[in-house]
Order: sequence, then C-alpha cells, then structure tokens
Amino acid sequence: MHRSDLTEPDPFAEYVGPVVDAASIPAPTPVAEHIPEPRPPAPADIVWADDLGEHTDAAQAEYDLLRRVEAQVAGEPVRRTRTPGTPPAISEGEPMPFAFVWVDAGSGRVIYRKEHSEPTTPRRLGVLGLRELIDNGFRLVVPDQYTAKRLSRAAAAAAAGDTPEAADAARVDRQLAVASRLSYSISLVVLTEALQRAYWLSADLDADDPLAWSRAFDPRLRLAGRPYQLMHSLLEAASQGQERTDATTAMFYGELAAIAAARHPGQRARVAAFQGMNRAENAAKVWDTTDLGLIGRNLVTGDVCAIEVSDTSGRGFTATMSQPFKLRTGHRHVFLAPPGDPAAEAAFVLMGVRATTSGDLIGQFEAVTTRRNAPAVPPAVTVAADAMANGRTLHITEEPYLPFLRSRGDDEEAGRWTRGRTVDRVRPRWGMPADVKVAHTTRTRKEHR
Amino acid sequence: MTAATIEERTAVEAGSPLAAALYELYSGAPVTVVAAPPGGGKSDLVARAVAHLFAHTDATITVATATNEQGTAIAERIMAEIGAHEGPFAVRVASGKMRVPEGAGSPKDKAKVRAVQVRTAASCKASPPATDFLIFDEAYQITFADFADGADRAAQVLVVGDPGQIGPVVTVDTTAWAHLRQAPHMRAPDVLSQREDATIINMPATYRLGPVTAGVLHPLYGWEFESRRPQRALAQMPGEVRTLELPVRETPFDLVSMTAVVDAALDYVGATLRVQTSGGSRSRDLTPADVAIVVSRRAQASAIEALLLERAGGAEDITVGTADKLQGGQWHAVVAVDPTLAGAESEHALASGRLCVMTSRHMTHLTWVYDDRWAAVLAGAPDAEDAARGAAVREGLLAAGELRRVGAC
Repeated sequence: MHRSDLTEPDPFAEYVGPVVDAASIPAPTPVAEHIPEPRPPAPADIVWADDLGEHTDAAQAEYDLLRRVEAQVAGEPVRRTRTPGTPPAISEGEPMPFAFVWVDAGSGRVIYRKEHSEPTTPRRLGVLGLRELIDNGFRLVVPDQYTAKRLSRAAAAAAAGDTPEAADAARVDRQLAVASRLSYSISLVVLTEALQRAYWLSADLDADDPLAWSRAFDPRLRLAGRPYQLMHSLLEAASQGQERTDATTAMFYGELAAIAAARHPGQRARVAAFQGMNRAENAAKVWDTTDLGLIGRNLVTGDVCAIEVSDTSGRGFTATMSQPFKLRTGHRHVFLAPPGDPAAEAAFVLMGVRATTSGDLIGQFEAVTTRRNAPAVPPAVTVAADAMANGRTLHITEEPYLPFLRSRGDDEEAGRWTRGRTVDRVRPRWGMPADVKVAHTTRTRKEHR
Repeated sequence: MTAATIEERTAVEAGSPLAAALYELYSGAPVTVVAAPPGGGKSDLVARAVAHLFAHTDATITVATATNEQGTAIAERIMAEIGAHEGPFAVRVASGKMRVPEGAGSPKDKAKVRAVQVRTAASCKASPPATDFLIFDEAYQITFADFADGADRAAQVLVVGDPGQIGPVVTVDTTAWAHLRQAPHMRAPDVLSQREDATIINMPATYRLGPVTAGVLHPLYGWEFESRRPQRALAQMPGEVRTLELPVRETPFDLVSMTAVVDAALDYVGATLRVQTSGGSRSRDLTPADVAIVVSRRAQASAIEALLLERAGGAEDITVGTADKLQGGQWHAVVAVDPTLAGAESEHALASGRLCVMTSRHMTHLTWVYDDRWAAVLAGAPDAEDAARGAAVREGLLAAGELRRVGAC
C-alpha cells in the first residue's frame, strides 16, 4: 500500500512511470469565437482569433530570435518586460510564503523546502504534504516544466490509485491542473517560464534550463549543487519589475477563486474554476498587451498598433495605422503609456477604418469622455494633437477589460443547473392556453429524452 | 370591426416549433432547447414565444442575448409582437450599454412596471435575474459556465440558437476537461441537450437558403431540414452555387487571389434577381448593397476593401467582413473564401462553425472560392470528425456549383 506521509517512501517517485505523458494529452478543443461589431467590450472581445495564422507565428519567432541574439551580443539576459516574470501575490497581511519544490538529484525523489517557516531543511514531499502546502497558501516554486509535469503526473496517478490518499490526491490533481494551465500562475511558479517572460536569454543558451539562467545572470556564481539557493536567486530575478495593479489583482483573485473551486469535484466546481481561470487569463492578456517592454513584439502580432496622427478635431482624430492590427471598430481603445501618465487614462473608440489605394489604413477615432466635468478638449484629442505636433508615434491597444467574477459566497441556492443531473419540473402556475393545447400536435419535430 | 386582442394576435399555428416550445414551458419543463438551421426563424420564435407568455400569464420574463446589439434587435421584435399595450412599456432594456428602442423602458425606469426584461448574458452572469422564464437568444454563442451562472435563479429556461454558428471565444486552456462530455467551456445548448430533463426541438426549415444549399449544409446539423424559401434566382447565373478555383498561392491574402474574389463579387452587381411568390413574379437588378464578401481573416478583408475602392460603380458599398463579423447577416449574393485557402492549417481555418457561417449568408446565390489544397489540409486536421463534416460540405458545394478556374499568372 502506498502511503503519503513524509516518513514513508515518496509515492511520487513510484507513480511517475506508468502515467501517460502530459504531452500526449489531446490539444484543446477548437472553440471559435463570435465577434460582431460594433459593440462595447465584452468577455468575448479580449482575444481575437489568429488572424494571420502561421504567418504571425513565424514573424513572432523571428522577432524573438532577434532579441535573443541581441542578448547574446550583450553577454547577459536583456530585460523583456517592464512587469515581473511572475505576478506578485496580493495580501493585506502576511505575504504568501514560498515553498521550493525540486527533484533531488541523488535519490530522484521530489523534495521541498519552505522559505521561512519550519521545516526549512529539505524534506520529501508526498501528496498529503502537497495538499497541506496548497491549503496553507504556499506558493509552489519549481525550477522547470519537467518538475511541474512530474508533480501533476504523480498527483494524477495517486488519484487514480486505490489508496486512502486517493481523494486528497484527486483534489491536488485538480488544483495543479488549474494552476499549470494558467499563463502566469501565482500558486505554481515555474522559474524558467517566469524568467522567459521577464528576460531575453542569449540565443546560444537553453531557456528551459535553470542552470543556464543562473550562469547567464552571474557566471561566477556556483549554484549547480545547491538547488534551493539557485531557485531562490532565480525567483528574485523573475520577481523584479513594475506591477500593473488592476490586472495583477484580477489575476490573483481569479486564480484564487479557481484554486478554491478545484478543491471539489463536480460540475458546479468546474464552472466556478472555469470562471476564475477566465478572469485570470483575461488579466494575463492585459498584462501582456499593456506592457511597454512588449510593444515591439505586440506590433508583430497586431495586439498593439502604432499610429501616426494626421488630423485632430474637437472630438476625435485621424491616424495612419500600422499593420497587422487586431483593433476593432466600435470598441474602446487606449494609448500605451507609463502608469501615472495622463495619456494612459485617455480612452477613445475606433469608429472606422478606410483603406487607401496605396494600401495604407486610415483610422478614425472618437474620444470617450466619462467624467461629468470633462475638459473642453477630451484628453485623447490633447494627446493626439501633441503627438502630431511633435511627429511622435503613438501606440494603442484595446482597452483592458476584466470580466466580473460572481461572488458565490454562502448562496445555498447557487448551482441550480450544475448541482445534479436534472432539475425538477416546475409545477405549472398557468393553465395551458387553448391555442397551444390544440397546436401542440405530433407533427412537431421534437425529441424527448 | 374590433381590433384583435393580444391573445388573438399571439395565437400559434398547429404543429409549429413555437407551439411545441410553448407547450413545454406551460407544462413546467425546466429546460427546452430549440435548434434552428440558418434562416430558420429563431428570432421570430423568441419574439412570439415571449409575446405569448406575456399575454397569457403574469409571469416574470427575461430575455438574454450574447451582445448588446442582439438585445436591442430582439427587444424591437418583441415590442412589435406584443403590439398595443396598456402599461407605459411592455419591454424594458435592463443592460446599461444596450441601446433602448423607442417605446421601450430603459435601465433608469424602475422595474415595478410589468415588462419583459432584456439583458445581456454577461449582465445575467454578474447578477442572475430571479425570473419565471429566462429565454436565451443566440444561445450557441454562450458558454455553459455563463449560462449556469446567469440562469441560477431562473425557474424555467428556453435556449434558442443555430448550432452551426461560431461559438464563444474561450481563452482558457481547457485540456483539463477535454475528456468530459459536459464541460464549462462548451456551448450552453450542447451541454443542456445532453440532460435527461431537456426537451429538444429542431426547427424543420430554412426560409433563407435554397434547397441545394440546405442539402449541402446538412452534414453540419444533426437533423434534416428543408428549404421554404420563395423561389429566387439570378437570370445570368443559374442554380444557387458556383465555384471558383484559384491557383495555390503563398499566402491566403495574396493580391492576385483577392482580385479574383473582387471580380467575382462585381459579377453580381447588375445581375437580374427574379423572385417567384404566390402573388406573381418580380424582378430587379442587384446593387452593390445586395452583395457581400465573407472571408476568414481580417488581412483578406483589408486587401479586398482596398481593391474595391479602385473599382467604379459604388463597389465600395459591397459588404466585406470576416465570418465572425458577418454572422447573423444575409445578402442576396455572397462570395465566400475558403478558410483553408493557401493551405492555412490553423484551428481558425479548420473549424466547421466558420465554414457554416460563410456558406449560409446568401439568400439567392453563393460563389465558393477555394484552391485544390483544401482536402490535404483537412486530412491533417487534429479533429478528424469535424474535418470530415467540413469536407462533406465542400464536396457538396463542388458538386452543386458550376466550376470556374482562374489560371495562374
């Protein structure tokens, strides 16, 4: 029988073998989108489909390679984003503690060490230990995707087993499934991924290797045999950067809600987990599209558009737009500017796009003013006029939108359509109208199940 | 002669899907799913069902739509069905950003007046309405998760939509639920249809598409439907479909290819439309406003818009857009560009929902533009079942259409 307490052999090491490789899990079901226009921002508007398909992918890969070659020339990692590689946790009291998890090179077992609280010496990690860490609000830090997948596979295998820990393992499995599928998880930090978000690593180094990152930051530092110190120093590097508070907060609370929902099985919990993940992913997208360090890359994908203002009027402005772009008519957009810059607060709507015979696209924009005592000239027009006067290029993107996360609280009634397989028929309160009674005939194509 | 009462005005026809849906609602069925083919009369059914419930009960009724525009449109339809009404208004728009039609109540009007509430699904999700009947229009554009949250306090639901339409955007990695038959990211009616307590009503006819197109699209639907469209045809182009084969190019927005697409659209301008109805036959020439070009990529749309500007005769009035944008619209003549053009293999290109939208916008005639790599692209698609449906539709189009080839240059 497999036990999971810390005095027994690590069940993870034993479960790794027979489990299906995560890479063989089928790709996400293609789900297309409906994006009519014009209309105000809605959840469905956050991501436009891959408009240029594989051509954009190739251009993006080319851009990434160029930046990494620059890092190679510089001889050190080059900053990629202004925001951190991993989002910070939002906490009013004590900050969420870290627990560093890695595979011990000697034994091949999964071990962990807490950052501050006891035990601070590395210990084997079993499924119950993992559950405890998650329950107690620890942020798991793993060096690479290999370790993250190993944790997930082990939890899935333990959940499938016939052991007393199976239920705990299933819960951990669900929670890891949520965390590992988020673009930027707060609960499960994969160091190589976080570093790749924050920095361009030299093109000749393997960005999936934590040691390569460590050597790149400080070639004199010898952390090869000291995994905890190595991970700690890399986490510090990955955490540096300017926060974007609203998106970070949304990411944090979205993930928190999803992880909490994933404690439970069933459709009701899955719906809540999905909604939390949805909010976190929308916030992650905002993190990426509004990061000033990523403007160049986002111009390649069209998430950001460079505009040259050619005319301004009382309520709006006209500008030549870079291509490709993913902006949509009827939608609100914003200028990309550092936090605190008045330009960052100015919103405007793309009213229409006109193509010229030379292939240029001219956008017509109208300022949005929501304040009651708005200035005579809307801020967006002021920014546009200033850019035109100084021959400055502006960068714009869709206005960030973060969907609501419904607070379920203690609402016992919640989950009418997800609690069970059926809902009871309602006792009819109104008599069947005669015309319906007569009209309801067997000629109707109908299936009853 | 006295004016008809609201009960008389909203009376239903024997054997109609509307009668079946209302029967279920009056019987207390918790979930009724109505699936319609393109041009099957979904909005008509929703508006008439709501008017009937409004006339015959004192129930609270809420209508939820995927977008604000759909909300305004359905509010107008419902008001027209209800007609003259004693209260200050019969329909109240309850979402702040939804345009309020003339004669309807606005969010500022207090909900004390008995009125049908029209809201977006997003608004319902944020604040679930306590309502006797919650009716989702265009329900295939809503995820099950949004439905479940939005309908939490609804006693009975009626979900109406076209299963061939493009579903909602899902940006979340959903592989964790890929093995489930009912998952939060799936389209709401797809999940609800699997429930034991659900009644499913399939609408039997399309009033937009002709019999040939209805037959071609059948693989994308799980039931047979027929064409009840009035007899319509273009004098210069017999049949409903023609196909235009392009040489394989490097990119799907190649300028020579897009020029051929523009030429095909301009063929329609001035063509004679003949309509045969019970009252006799009528004819008129098609104008640019009767023509649309539907593509799968915005880069294609941009190129085509620029090319149209160079042409004379009001060519810029031809509607151009992606399937996502033109979903819900209809035109007499449509040029549709195969999403797999130039060997595009992305999920975006392969999804049959997009294909369905592109091949069902025309009321009279369709030109299908493709190159001969489509079969190879579909053969490598990850979702073989969906690819097979897409292949069957394309084969149907090629069999139905008169073929034209554009030579390589």
